[in-house]
Parts: sequence; structure tokens; C-alpha cells
Amino acid sequence: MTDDDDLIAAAKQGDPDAWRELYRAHAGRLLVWLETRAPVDGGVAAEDIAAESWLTAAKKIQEFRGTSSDFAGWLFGIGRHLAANARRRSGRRRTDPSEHDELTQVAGTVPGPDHAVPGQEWVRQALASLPPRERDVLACLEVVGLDVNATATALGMSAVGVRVARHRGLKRLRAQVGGPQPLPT
Amino acid sequence: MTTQHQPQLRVDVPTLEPSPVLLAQLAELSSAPRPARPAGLRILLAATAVAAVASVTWLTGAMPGAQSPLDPSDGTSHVPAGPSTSPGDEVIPPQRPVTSAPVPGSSAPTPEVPGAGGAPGAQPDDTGTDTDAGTDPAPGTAPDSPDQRSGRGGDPAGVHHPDRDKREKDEKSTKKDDKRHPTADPDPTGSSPPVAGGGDPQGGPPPWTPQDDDRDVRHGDGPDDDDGGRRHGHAHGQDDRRGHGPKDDRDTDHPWAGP
Repeated sequence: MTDDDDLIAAAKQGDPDAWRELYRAHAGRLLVWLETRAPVDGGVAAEDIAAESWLTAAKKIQEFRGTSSDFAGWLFGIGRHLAANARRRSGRRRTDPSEHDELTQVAGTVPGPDHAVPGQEWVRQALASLPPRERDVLACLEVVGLDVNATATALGMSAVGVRVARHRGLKRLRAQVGGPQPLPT
Repeated sequence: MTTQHQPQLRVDVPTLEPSPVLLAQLAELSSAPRPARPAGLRILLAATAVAAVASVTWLTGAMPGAQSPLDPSDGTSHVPAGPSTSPGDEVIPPQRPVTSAPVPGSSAPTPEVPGAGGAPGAQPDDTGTDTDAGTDPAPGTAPDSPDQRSGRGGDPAGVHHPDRDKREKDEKSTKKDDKRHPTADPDPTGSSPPVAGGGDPQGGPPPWTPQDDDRDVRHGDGPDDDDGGRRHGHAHGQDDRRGHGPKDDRDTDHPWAGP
């Protein structure tokens, strides 16, 4: 099961072990990336979108061709589309009750153990000032560690566009931090 | 240098374990056979639906520019209005009122013109071009005879029926609409020559058309004709074409063909 192609092939056959391994490899990154991006809605959590992304990937796994690394970009793309749909849906109908906001605030003050990611809050605040395109690219490349091709697949961009957005995002972050502080190149 | 700031953006991604329920769903969804949707079946269904709709549209005549074989107007047009279905039929339709008894000697049942054919010397045409007058099985009803046009052999009472004229014109207008064969030989015996004589300078008579019938009707040289004379008067060139078409039975219906 070390080979990516074998892993994907086993997942297509419905092997639970293959899915468990895929989940271990990509579920945490997907969740962190979704939380790093702009919040969708008070009623839709990143966990919900992540879970729906996995279910959609399981339904569409027969159409996927690639390795496990490509699977990461494909899975992130599914999550991006689902988040966009949830954002549009919440924008069309604002039916969130006020009590829900209060519950969200209360729940937000007591994060669960899965949300205890060191440095995630600082990274989120730092990326919040960036444009969405550069923020997504930096979140994929620098925060969760996807490669350029997987990032391009996840964001629907070209590899060159990913590199340009990464460069601009890092430059903007450097200017915001102040001073010629070295940033990862 | 780069490793100094990498931990600032790179977070320690936790390794999450899938729940058994989620793992079972993933395995089930990925292994579930997808419903096969062959393209051929869909194309066949679409073609069948299109053909069905097109057939129904064509049969109902809803397609503009295309005639439908099931047009209801055709069915009503072929229904005969009376016993005389052919233009050359000598039988007078029974819906016409019988004003007088037929004169013996008239072979055709023409109650309106009892003495038309019975009068001696009425058959030969004065122009000598109508040769079918003597060979016609119903010589008494030969409309070409000038006697009829001149009023001889017509209605003995000499009564002019304007309502009957109107009805006749209506019948003729309806018969024009009917798609009859205009060149059908009205003479069942075949004695009527195809060429009427020297009336046609081209050497052959033109096929009978409803317009000919109208011209015959409007020859108003009879004594009782009020407007026919004003319209056409004497047109002997058209008289030569008489006796070839279904106008024979119509000319006998003229009320001015009286004695």
C-alpha cells in the first residue's frame, strides 16, 4: 500500500484500509486549509465541508486518475467547490437565527481537541489580510504543504499562476510584518 | 534562513483517524457499482420520442406547410351532394324542384325541360359544329341546341325562378371547389367526339373547366334572360365547345329555356 497508484486502485475497489490511509494523509490538511480560508457561514463549519468532501470523493473516485498526491489536490478542489456553494447558499438566504450566533460564539470560545493546532490562529490572522487568491495559494503551499501541481489542481489555476500568487503573497506578508524579515522562498 | 520562518506559516497538521461510520460509508460509496447509462439507449429513447412527436404532429396536420392525409375537409368534400356525382351525368339532382312533368320522347329524365329534346329539329346545331347532338343518347337534353337557348323546349310555364338560379349558382360554386376531373367524358356512350368541330381554331377543344360552364350559363340570348345578354351576348365561338363537358345538364336547367 506504499504505492500511490496501488492506494488509489484499492480505494476504487472499496478497500477500507486504503481509505483509512488516505484519510490519515489528507484529512488533517484539508481541515486546516478549510479553516484557514475565509469563513463560510456561521451555520456551516469546516468539518462539515470536509466530511462532505470525503463523501463526494468516495462517490467520484472512479472518475479520478492519478496518484495520492494528485488525490490531495483533487480532494481540496472538491472542498473548495463545496465551500463556495455553501457561501453562495448562505448569501442567498440569511435565515440564521440570533440564538445560533450566540451558540457559535460560545462554542468558539471552547474549541475542541481537534482544533488545537499550534500556530493556526496566528497564521489565519496573517493570511486574512491577503487577497483570497494569494491566501489560498499560501495556505496550500506553506501552511498544509501541498506541492505546486496539487495546489493548482485544488484551486483551478495553472502552475505558473500558483507560483506568481505565492511570490506576491509572500512579498505582501513581508511588507505587513515590517522590515526585511526573511520569509521562506 | 528559510527554515527560520517556515514554522511561522507551516502548522503541525494533526493526523486524523476516520470514524468507523465514515470509513464504512467511504468504502461503500467507492465500491458501489455506478448505474450504467449507455449512450445508445439514451439516443434510442430520444429518437423514439422525436419520431413519435413528429408522427403525431404530421397526422394532425399541425406542421405548417405540409398537407395531412387525414384532413377532415377532404372527407366532407368527397361526399356526393346528390345522385349526380359526375359532371356529365344526365340525371338531374333530385333536390331541384320539379316544375312540370317530362315530355314523352325525352330519353333523359329532365323534368325541368320537358320539351327541350322533344321538339323536332332541335338537335342539329345551326352552326353545324355540334355533331354529338344527334348521337347523344339524351338528345332531348342536349344543351347545345339553340332551341333551348332561344327558349324553345324550356319551362312550359315560362316562369322565371330567381331563387333557383341562385341555388344553381351556389351549387356550381361548390362544385368548382370539388376537385373533379375536368376532362372526364360526360358522355357515357363515348359518342361525343373529342373534337367538336371547327369551333376551335387550334383544332382541338379545350378541356372542360368550370369557367366554361360559367360562360355557358351567362349566354343570355334567351328571351327571359335579364342580365345574360348584357354580359356576354352571343358568343358562337364558345358554343362550339358545348356538348363536351358537364355543362350539358346545367344548360338544361336554365329557366329561360322555355318555349
